[in-house]
Amino acid sequence: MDVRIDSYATHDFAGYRFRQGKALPFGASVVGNGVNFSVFSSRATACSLVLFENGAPLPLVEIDIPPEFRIGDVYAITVFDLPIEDIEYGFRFDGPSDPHRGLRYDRTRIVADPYARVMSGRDTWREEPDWTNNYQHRSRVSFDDFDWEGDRPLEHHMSDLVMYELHIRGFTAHPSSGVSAPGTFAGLREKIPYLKRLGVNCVELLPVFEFDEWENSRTHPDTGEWLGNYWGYSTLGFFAPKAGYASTGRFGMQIDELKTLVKDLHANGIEIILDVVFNHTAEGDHRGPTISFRGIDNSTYYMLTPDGWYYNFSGCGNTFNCNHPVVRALVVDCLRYWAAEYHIDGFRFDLASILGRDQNGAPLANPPLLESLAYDPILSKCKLIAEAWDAGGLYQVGSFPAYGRWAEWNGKFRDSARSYLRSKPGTIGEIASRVQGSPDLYSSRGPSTSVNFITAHDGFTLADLFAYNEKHNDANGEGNRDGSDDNESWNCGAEGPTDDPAINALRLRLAKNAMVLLLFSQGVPMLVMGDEFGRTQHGNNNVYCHDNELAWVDWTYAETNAELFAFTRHCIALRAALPVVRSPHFPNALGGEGRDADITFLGTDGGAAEWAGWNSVLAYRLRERSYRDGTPGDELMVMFNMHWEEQYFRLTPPLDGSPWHVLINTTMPSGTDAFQPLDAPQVTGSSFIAGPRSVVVLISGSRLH
Amino acid sequence: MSVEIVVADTADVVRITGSIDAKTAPEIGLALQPALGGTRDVVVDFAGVGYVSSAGLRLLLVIYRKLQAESRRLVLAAVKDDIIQVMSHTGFLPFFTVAANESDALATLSESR
Amino acid sequence: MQIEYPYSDTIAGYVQSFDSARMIAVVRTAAGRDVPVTITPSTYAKITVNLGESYRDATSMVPSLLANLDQCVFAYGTFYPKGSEATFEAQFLIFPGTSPGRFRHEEPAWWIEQARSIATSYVGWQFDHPAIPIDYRNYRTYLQLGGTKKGDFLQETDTISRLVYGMSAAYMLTGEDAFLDASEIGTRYLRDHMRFVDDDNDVTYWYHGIRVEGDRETKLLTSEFGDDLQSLPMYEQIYALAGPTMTYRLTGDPEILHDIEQTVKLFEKFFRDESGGGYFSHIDPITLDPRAASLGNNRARKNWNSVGDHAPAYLINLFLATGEARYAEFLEETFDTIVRYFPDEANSPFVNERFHEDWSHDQSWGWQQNRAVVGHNLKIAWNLLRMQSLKTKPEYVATARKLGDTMPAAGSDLQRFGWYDVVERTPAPGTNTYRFVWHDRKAWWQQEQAILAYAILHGTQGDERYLRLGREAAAFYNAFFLDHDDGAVYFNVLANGMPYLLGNERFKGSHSMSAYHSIELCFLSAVYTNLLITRQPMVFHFKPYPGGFPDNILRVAPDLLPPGSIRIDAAWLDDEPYAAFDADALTVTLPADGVRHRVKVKIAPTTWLQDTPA
Repeated sequence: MDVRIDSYATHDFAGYRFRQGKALPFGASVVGNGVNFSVFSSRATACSLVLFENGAPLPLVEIDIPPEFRIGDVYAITVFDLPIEDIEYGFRFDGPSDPHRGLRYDRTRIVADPYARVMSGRDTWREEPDWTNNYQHRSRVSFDDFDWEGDRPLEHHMSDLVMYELHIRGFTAHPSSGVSAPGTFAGLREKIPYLKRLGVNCVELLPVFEFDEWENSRTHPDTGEWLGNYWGYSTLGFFAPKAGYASTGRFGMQIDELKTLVKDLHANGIEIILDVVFNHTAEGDHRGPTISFRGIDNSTYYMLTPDGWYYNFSGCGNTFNCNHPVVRALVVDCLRYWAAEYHIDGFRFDLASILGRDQNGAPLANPPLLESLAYDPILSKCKLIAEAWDAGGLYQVGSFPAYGRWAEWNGKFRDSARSYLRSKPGTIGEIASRVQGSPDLYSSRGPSTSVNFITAHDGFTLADLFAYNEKHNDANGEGNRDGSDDNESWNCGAEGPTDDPAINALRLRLAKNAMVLLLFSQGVPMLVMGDEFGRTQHGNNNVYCHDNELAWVDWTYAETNAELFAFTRHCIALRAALPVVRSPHFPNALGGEGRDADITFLGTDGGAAEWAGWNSVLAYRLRERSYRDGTPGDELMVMFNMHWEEQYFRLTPPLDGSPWHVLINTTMPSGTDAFQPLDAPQVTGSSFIAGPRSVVVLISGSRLH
Repeated sequence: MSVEIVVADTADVVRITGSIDAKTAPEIGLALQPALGGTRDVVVDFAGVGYVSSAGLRLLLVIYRKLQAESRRLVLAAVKDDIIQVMSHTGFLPFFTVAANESDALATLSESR
Repeated sequence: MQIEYPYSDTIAGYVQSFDSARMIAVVRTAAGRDVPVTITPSTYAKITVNLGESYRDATSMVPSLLANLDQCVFAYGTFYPKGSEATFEAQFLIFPGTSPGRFRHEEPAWWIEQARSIATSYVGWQFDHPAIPIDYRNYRTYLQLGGTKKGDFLQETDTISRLVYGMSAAYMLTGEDAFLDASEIGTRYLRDHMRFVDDDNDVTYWYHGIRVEGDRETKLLTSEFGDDLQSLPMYEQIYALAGPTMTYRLTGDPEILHDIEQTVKLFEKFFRDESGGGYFSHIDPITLDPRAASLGNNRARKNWNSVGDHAPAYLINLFLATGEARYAEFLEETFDTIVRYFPDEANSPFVNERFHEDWSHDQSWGWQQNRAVVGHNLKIAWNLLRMQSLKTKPEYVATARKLGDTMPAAGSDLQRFGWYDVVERTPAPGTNTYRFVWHDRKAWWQQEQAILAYAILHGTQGDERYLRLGREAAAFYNAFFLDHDDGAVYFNVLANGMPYLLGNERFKGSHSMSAYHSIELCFLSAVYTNLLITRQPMVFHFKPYPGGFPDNILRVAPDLLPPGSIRIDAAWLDDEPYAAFDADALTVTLPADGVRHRVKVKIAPTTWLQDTPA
C-alpha cells in the first residue's frame, strides 16, 4: 500500500486517472506510479495535455487540465499508469491571438514541452518525415537514472586545455572513419583512441540539443544535392539531446548513449564542452512554424518590437529573450541540468552578446543572465565561453561582461594570426600581444580568458586557408553570396589543388607555422576537427547546409597528410610538457606563482625588436618565472620568420648558460620538424638561420636531461 | 512474453521470450524472484528476446547489481547482435558477461570456480 | 695542414659547430680531426635516397641541418692552399638523415625496398622478366654496368646459386612471386644441369659451371678461376648450396634437402680433416684427395672459405630451416675451430686466413701472402655473434668484440668512412698504418660485412660505439654505392666514394657479383635493425609445399637472434588470419590439406632485451 497521498488519483477521464500535479520540476518527471507534467504560460487561458502512442498521427487522449490545477502561471498534472516508453506528449494552449501585442496563441497547434528531456520526430538523421503530421517534434518521458560509476566533471585548469571543435555527424559519417556507428555519439566514442593519440583533452561539440535537420531544406538547383540544417544552430528542445545523433535514437535511447560518451571521454581525460544556442530558436520569425515557445508564451520568450514583430539580432529570424526573468530561469535550469545530469564540463555560447541585451534589444551594462550564470553554484566549475559578438552589431571581444568567469572566443587572435601568417605588413605589433594571451584585451583577467583559434566551423579549414584566395560556396546554392568575404587567406600561388610541389610544400609549412602559433601562444588553443591532417572543404567557407563529403571528415587524409598530423601531435605534446607556454598569468605580470613566464621580444641581431610595419619577423624569449629563485625552469626562444627569405638570428645564451636545443623547425621534413625535449638536437653555434616562411623554437633548461 | 526458469547443475537458467520493456519488466522481475532470491549464479538466455528497451536495460542492470552484492555471477546468453550493439552504445554492456549460448554460459561459470 | 695546390676529397663526420654568419661548419671525423668546412653559394646538398626513390634536394635546409650538433654529413670539396692552413670548400654535401641520430637506412622499410629494387633489376636483366617466362638458359655470369649481357656463354654454378639466394631472400622480405619463381626455377636448374650425383661415393657435388652454346652444354667440373684452377675448391661447393638452402627455407622441397645433405656428406667424407680438425680447401677432381700433388699450392691447405664460410653461406640457413641438432653441432665445431686457430693477436689485429694441414700459418700463398682481407675479419665477428645466440660461449663473444674493437683503426677509413679491401697484416716499420696491398678502393661486399657486424654487435651487446660504427658504414654504403641510374649497386668505389668503373669492377654480374651480398645485406640489415635496434615488427613470406617440411612445421626465425628476443605476433595463410603458430618457438604448424599456401608471419621484438636508446 502506497502511503503517499499524491500516489492516488482524484480525477478520471476516458480511462486516464490523474490528479493535480506538482509545479516543480518543470517538464515531465516520473513520480512513483505516475508522470508529473508541469508547464507555464503567462497569457494562456487554458491548457490541455495531449498524449499520443509513439508515432501515431492522432492523439490517444487529450486531457484538459482543470483550472483548479493551475498555480500562478503553472499548469501541473500527474497522470497515473502511463506506459512511459510507448507514449509521446504535448500541450494545446488556448489564449488571445493578437500578434501586434505579441500574443500568438493557436488552438489548432499542439506544442512541445520546452523542458522535454527527450524528443521524438527526428529519430533517425535525415529520415524523411511525414509532412502531414500535425505535431512533428514531440516530447517524451525519459529515464533520468544512469550508472556513472563515480564519474564527475574533470575540472581541468582552463589554461591546460587544448580544445578540439567537432561536429558529431561530420566527425564519423564518412565511410573512411571505420566506425561501426557513423555520425553518432557512439561513433565519436569509437574515435576516443584517436583523440588520445592526437593529445587533445577537450572536445567542443557543435549543437547537440534537438534540432531539425530538415529546417530550410532544399535541393541544389544544379547538383541535386540535399541541403539542410547540418550544423544545428537552431534549437528545438533545450533539454533534449538530438536523437538523430544517436545510433540508438531509433529506440529513444539517446540520453544513455550521450551519457555513455561523456563517461568514456572523462575516463580518458577528455572534457566536453557543448556549443549552446540561446540566441534564437527554430521557430523563426512570424513566418516560421509554431513548435513550442511561440504557442506557449510568445511575448515572454522572444524579444519583440513594440509592434509585436520579432527582433532579429541573431540573423535567424527571432531572438530569445534571455534577460527576461522567466527565460533567464529556463536558461539557468537548462545549463544546470546538463552540468548535473550529463556531467558536462563547460559551455560555449553562440552569439553570446545577445545574452547581454535587454528585452528591447538594448545592450545591458550588467546583464542579469550573465551574472546569474557566472555565480550559479552548480555551474561554478563549468567553463563558460562566449562567442562575444552577435549579428546585430555588438562586438564585445575584450569587453564582454565577464564577472571574472567568462572566457571569450578571441576573434582578434584569429584575424591577427591569419594576417601575420600570410606576411601581411603592419601585423607584427598585434601578433605580439596575441601570443601573450592578449593582455591588451584581458588585462584584468588573465590569458585563460582568451580562447585562441585560427579556424572554427565557420570559415575556411586550415588547409583551405592556404589554398584559396576566395570563398567558393556555389555548392550552397546561393550564388556564392553567402559566407564571409574577409577571410585573410592566401592560396600560395594557385587557387585550389595543384601538382606544383613547391606550392604544396609551402602550404604544408604554413599550416605547420599556424599550429605552432596556435599551440605556443598563451591562452587556450582551439583546433577544428581534421585541421591536424589538412581537411579540406574545397574552398567552401560556410558548409552549414551540407550533409556530405564536403563537410565530413575524410579520414584518408590522416594517411596522406600523416606528416602534418605527426607535427600537430608533437606540438600538442610539447604544450602539455611545457607549462611556460600555458601560464595562468600574463607574461611579465607581477606576482603569480611557479608557472609564470617572462617574455622579451628580440630583433634578429639579439637586440631590441623591430616593430615597424614592414617587419615580418617576430622573435621572443619566454622564460619560466621560477628562474628568478634559482629553481630550474624552461626557457624558449621562438622565432617566427614570415619573410620570404631566410633570416639570420643571433642567439644570446640562455640564462642558465646551457646550450640551446631545437624543438621545432618547420623548414625541416617530417620526423625532424619537431622533437620532444629529450630528443631535441643541440644547436651548434651562437646563431641560427631560419628558413623562409618558417618557425623555429629552441629550448634550454633542465628538462632536457 | 514468457519466463521459464530451469535449474541446471551450477546455475539457474532463466529463459525469456518476447520483449523486455517498461510493460514487461515488472512481470519479468516478479517471475525472476525464485532465481534472484536463491543463492546460485544466474544465466539469462536471450535466444527468444527480440528487443530490450531502456527500461529493460535498467532491469538487467538492477539484477546484476543485486547478484553482485551477493557475490553471485550473471551471464547473458544468446543475445542478438543488434541488442549487443545497443547495449554497447548505451553503456550497459561492460557490466555483463556474455556467452554465445546456454551451454557456453554454463561452461564459463563452472570454469572459473 | 699545409698544401701547395688544390686537391679534392671527401670528409665524413659530425658537425660540432656552425657559424652561420660566415657559413663555416666544423666537422669532426672518426679520427677526431676537426675540419672547418666552408659552405659556398654554389654548394648543393642532398639527402641519401634509396634505390627507387627520387632525388631529395637539401640545399635550402643546409643551415637548419648544420645547426644541429652531431649531425652526420659527408662533404665532398676542395682543399685550397692558404698559408699554413688549407681551407676546405664544399662542392656538395650528403646527409644520411635529417637530424642527429636519425639515419634514413634505419627506417623500417629501407632495406626491404632496396632488396626489392635490386631483385627486380636482376630478374629483368637476367631473364627479361616480366616480358618472358624465367628461363635459366638465359642466365649469364657477366652483366655490364647497365645490366646488359656481354655475349659470353658462361654459367657459373656459384653465381647462379648466389642469385638464387638473393631471389629467395628478396621473396622472404617482399612476398613478390617473381622472386620466388626465380629462386625455384634456378634451384631446379642447378639440380638439372650443375649437379653431379656420385652414387659410388654416395655424395653429391657440383660442377664449377657450364658453357652454353645454342643447345650444346659443356660441363666444367673444375674451377676455371685462376686461384683454384683444375681443382675442386671447397668454396665453390659451399656456395653452390647458398641458393638452394635459402630456397628450402621458403618451400620445404624435400628434393632440395636431399641435395644439401648429400653435399654435406661430400664435405664430411672428402674435405674434412678427421685428425687435425677443420676442412681442407681443395681436393683433386678425380681422386677426391686433399693431399694430391696435382693441387700444387692448394695441397693440404685450409682457409677461411673452407673452415668458416659454411656458416654464412648455407649452414645457418640450413639449421634455421630444419632445427636439426647435427647442424648445430657442425656450426659449433666450425666456430670453435675459428676461435681456436684464426686469431693471431700477437702479430696482428687481423686473423690469419690460410693454414697448412697442421694449422701452421701459410703466409706465402698466392696473392694472400701475409695479408688481410678486412671483410673476412668482420665476417667472423658477425657470424660469431649469430652463433652466440645458438650456443653461448665466452670465447665467441670475446673474439667478436676484439675484432669489432680493433678493426676500425686497422681497416676503416677514419677520414671518409667506409672500409678498405686488402691490407698488409702488419704495419710498415716505423708506422701504425696497415698499407693497402693494391689500392684503396672500397668493395661493396666488404661494406656489407662491416654493416652487419656492427649492427649485430650493437644489437646483442648494446654498446653505443658499435652503433656508431655500424651507422657510419651503412651511411657510406647508402650514400655512394647505390646505382640510381642503372640499378643495383656498384662493385667498387674510390676511397672518396666516387664509383670506380674500370675492368671487371665495372660489371653488375661477374664471378664475384651476383645479387648475393647486396641482397643478403638488405635482408640481414633489415632483421638486425628492425628486430634488435629500432624494435619494429617485420613481416616475412614463405610458400611451403604441402607435406614438405617434416610434421608440417614451418620454421620462421629470420636469423639466429638472442633467445627470447623475438616472437611471432600474427600469421596469415593466403592473407587470412591463421592462429596455429607457436609464438615463442617461432614455428607455424601448416594445415595438412595438400594445398600449397602462402604464409606470412609478423615477427616482433619482445621486451626481453634491455632497451638501447637510438
